[in-house]
Amino acid sequence: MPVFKRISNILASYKLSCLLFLLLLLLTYLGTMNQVENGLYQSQQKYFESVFVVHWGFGSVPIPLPGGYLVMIVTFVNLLWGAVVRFRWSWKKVGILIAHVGILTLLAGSFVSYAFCQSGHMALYENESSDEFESSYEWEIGVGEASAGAPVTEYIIRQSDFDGLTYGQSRTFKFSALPFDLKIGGYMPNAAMGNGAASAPHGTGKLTELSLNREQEQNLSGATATLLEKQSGAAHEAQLWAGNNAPVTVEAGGKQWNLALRRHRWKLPFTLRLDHFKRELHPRTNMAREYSSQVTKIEDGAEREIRITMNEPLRHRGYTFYQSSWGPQNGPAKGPFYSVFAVVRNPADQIPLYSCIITGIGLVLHFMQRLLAYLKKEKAKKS
Amino acid sequence: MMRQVICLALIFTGVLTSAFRAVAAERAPSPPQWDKNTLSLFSTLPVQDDGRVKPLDTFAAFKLLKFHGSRSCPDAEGKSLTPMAWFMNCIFYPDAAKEYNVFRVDNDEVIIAIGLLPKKKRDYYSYAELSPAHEKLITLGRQYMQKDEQQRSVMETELMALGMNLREFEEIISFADCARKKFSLTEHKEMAALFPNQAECRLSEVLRKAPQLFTAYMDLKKKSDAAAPELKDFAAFLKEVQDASVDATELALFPPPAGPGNAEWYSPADMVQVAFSGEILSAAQLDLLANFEELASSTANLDAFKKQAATLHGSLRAQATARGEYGKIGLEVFLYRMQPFYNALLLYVLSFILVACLWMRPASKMLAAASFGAILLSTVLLSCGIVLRCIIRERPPVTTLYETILFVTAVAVAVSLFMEWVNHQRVALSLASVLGVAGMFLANKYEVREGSDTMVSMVAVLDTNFWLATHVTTITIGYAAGLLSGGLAHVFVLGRLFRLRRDDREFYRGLTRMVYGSLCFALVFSVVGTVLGGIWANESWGRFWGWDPKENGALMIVLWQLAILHARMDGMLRDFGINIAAIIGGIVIAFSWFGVNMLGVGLHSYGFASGAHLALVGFYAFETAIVFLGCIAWLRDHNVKSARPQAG
Repeated sequence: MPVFKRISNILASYKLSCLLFLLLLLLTYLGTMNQVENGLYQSQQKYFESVFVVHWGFGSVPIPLPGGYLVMIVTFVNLLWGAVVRFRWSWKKVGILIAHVGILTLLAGSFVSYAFCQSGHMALYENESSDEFESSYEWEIGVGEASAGAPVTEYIIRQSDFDGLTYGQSRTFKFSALPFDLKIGGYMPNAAMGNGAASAPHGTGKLTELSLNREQEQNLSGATATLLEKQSGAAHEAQLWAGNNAPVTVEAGGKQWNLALRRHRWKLPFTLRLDHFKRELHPRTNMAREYSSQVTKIEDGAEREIRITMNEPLRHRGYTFYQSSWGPQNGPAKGPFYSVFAVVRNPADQIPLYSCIITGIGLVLHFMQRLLAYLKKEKAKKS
Repeated sequence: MMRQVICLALIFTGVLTSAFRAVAAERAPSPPQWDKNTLSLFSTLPVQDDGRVKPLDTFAAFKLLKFHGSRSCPDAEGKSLTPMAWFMNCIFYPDAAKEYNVFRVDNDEVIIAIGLLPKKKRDYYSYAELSPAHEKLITLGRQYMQKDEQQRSVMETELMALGMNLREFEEIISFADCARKKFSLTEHKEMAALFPNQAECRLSEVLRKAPQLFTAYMDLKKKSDAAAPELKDFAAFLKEVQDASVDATELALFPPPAGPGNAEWYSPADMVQVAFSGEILSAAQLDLLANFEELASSTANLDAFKKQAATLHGSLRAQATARGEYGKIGLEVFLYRMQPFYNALLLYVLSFILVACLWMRPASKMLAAASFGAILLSTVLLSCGIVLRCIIRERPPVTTLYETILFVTAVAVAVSLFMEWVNHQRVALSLASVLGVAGMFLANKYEVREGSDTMVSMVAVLDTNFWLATHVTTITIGYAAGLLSGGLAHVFVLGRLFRLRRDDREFYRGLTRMVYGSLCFALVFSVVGTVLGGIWANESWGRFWGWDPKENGALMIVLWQLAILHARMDGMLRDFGINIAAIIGGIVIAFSWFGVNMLGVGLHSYGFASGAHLALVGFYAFETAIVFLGCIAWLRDHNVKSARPQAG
């Protein structure tokens, strides 16, 4: 099995490790410098959360590189396989082994985070409450019957299902319970609703594509939705825009339907109410000393008061709420304020901490052994 | 920073500049030679500034550092003044202070641009010399302010800084004007009832009577119509008081009574604003203001002045103590009197000279001991300074970019001394003195460049001693050890380049061992520090890793060190390779430490210093040249080695 052996050797080799370290180093450098021009989100998408990258050297020379995602997966394999192939029990190696287990844990944890983490934000005015939070980056299209007050079933299309449908492309989504098929197309990552939008009824304005903002939060996407009635075949078109505060209402099959392009939402198993937001400055400065939110958690009718502040998040049932921002920042000094919480549900939340402890112990153990051996040798040399 | 921006905006938008005030026209007495006692009284006077209560001495010293670029300034006769003496003269003898050459101008183009005759290319100017060009300075400053920061030339930036300094100086010299001023009551008949048998009154008296003043004003308003002359007269008096005090903002000398929610100390301007908005000032604050008025008005009689100063100091001290804000004042004055970082620089320079002598007389045991002792002593001094700062701020050692410089130097030198203690090769010893000189030089330069207090308040997210102590300290130790390995590698590369100790293979092997050892040490701290940073971010923002530039910088250091150590395991890097790689590691650390802060993006772009950019690029270039030379030396030696068997 020379081929298998050769591949195994390569996969477990230090040479590959070094190559991977250098590649990741290069990507990190390029991704950092790219932020100056293109902001964090776009650089992150391009260099780190990708399989392949084409970096434009000197602005015009295309340099193909593996993306951060690919490099990290291969690193994981290299590390794991290296450990399997080279593993020999000895006290001398035990520190290094522990350290590598720590790093493997860290990498594994980050894959788990990448795959399963829900992260977004929740903004509440004082005395307002909510049991859902929305994504900061991901869009969704929601369709449901427009009815006054009564809760309705809403059908959700996630962004990954429609963000490839740019320019002339479109896709038809079928829901058996709806009297129409929904054709989505003309997706724009950042768009403006054309003039006349304010006076025209929702959904009839003209979408214009804009170049992407450096700050991803400021991009407002747009798409064209067409309701194709199953019976009559009649088509009703609507322009969806994330900047709209209210859903677009379209008539189809004799009923009114609400369509909205909005930030993706997650439901929480409990409700949070903001009672009071406080912002304290260092005396005689404009520098914030502390932001804090007094909130009440309402769950199954039971209420509990909790304080959320910087560096002291609220953790409950797998969700963590962080004090993230506040506003209106140039509003009246005495409020009313709203407080923004970053909300994260990450099953691998505490993995980095464990990994840090394991790796730290491993490295300290190993290098202490080396240092003591060296000191012993020096002493022997002198005497 | 925010304060600077606001200040800049106020200056150049002309809100405050309509009047170029001529201060106290009458001929004032000239300032005395301040005796030690009086200086010490004023030095330890507490004042609130930038979020904390500090000694007036610290306040004065950083103002002088900002204007003058050093901590002493010559008076009109050329005699050197301490920051405290200079500041007291500014407050109490403003006319004399206007003649001091206090403003440092690095670029005479600034002077030419405002229409004055420059002295030397770089020189010092007095307020009196610059004031004829005041209007021009404001006009140009306003013009440059419109420009994008990146578009401004060095001259334009310097001109704006000069304009700001001039304005701040005006605020200092006019600070006590409102305390010296007596408001005439004879011109304002309505006041007579409130101040019986008085022809004039002081600001504190007006503020004491503020509630009655307002009741009287409201009564009058009810009784008479809006255009009544007595009402106008009343309003004119209030306006006079307000105008006289509006610029007295520089020193927040008057603490509120102890108690929760009373965080902010008041300047005279604040007191007027508070009293005039209907709130009640505490009697203690008003007494202090009255005391300050007596002090400011008794400059003609030095004995009376000293008496008033002692009284003011006594009551201010008592009040600050009651608020729990006086405890560290004495310690801070002591810290700056001791000048540990400047003196450490001098001692490191001395030790460098001693080490140089030691290389010429390697057998001298006395020289060896003296060099080691001098480095040890300066490191102890440096550490004392760091510890004192920790005690004063109740913080771990590293909270700002400035403090990283101090800490990195201390750690790097301490680790070098440990190496020297182990192997007695004198390489680590020599490097320790070089690193000490470089670090302290950088620290002193940085302090002058910033020109503002280096013990600053922390923004909300950084306000946590636990994470500052763990993550920041660890990562900074990582920087120190990494830079040390780079420093040691210079000895190897330059030694091989110039073929020093050509046949001493053990010497070079020992060097590489030291480089490797410090790399391992660095890796432990870089890895743990970087991950800890992620854990902190996860606690604060809910994400472990966000590809923020500073995080990326730390990751780059870790990756580079990992690459070196793994390449060594594989035999890809041997002696030369490891040393050259360690030098490149130094460049990576410099990028992470300072470079990313200059990108102006991300969460860590604090301590932004644009002029320092050039120095950093210089460092990159220099180190790249060393790496290049190292490669040449390696190729040369390599060829010699591989040519030998053929020749043989």
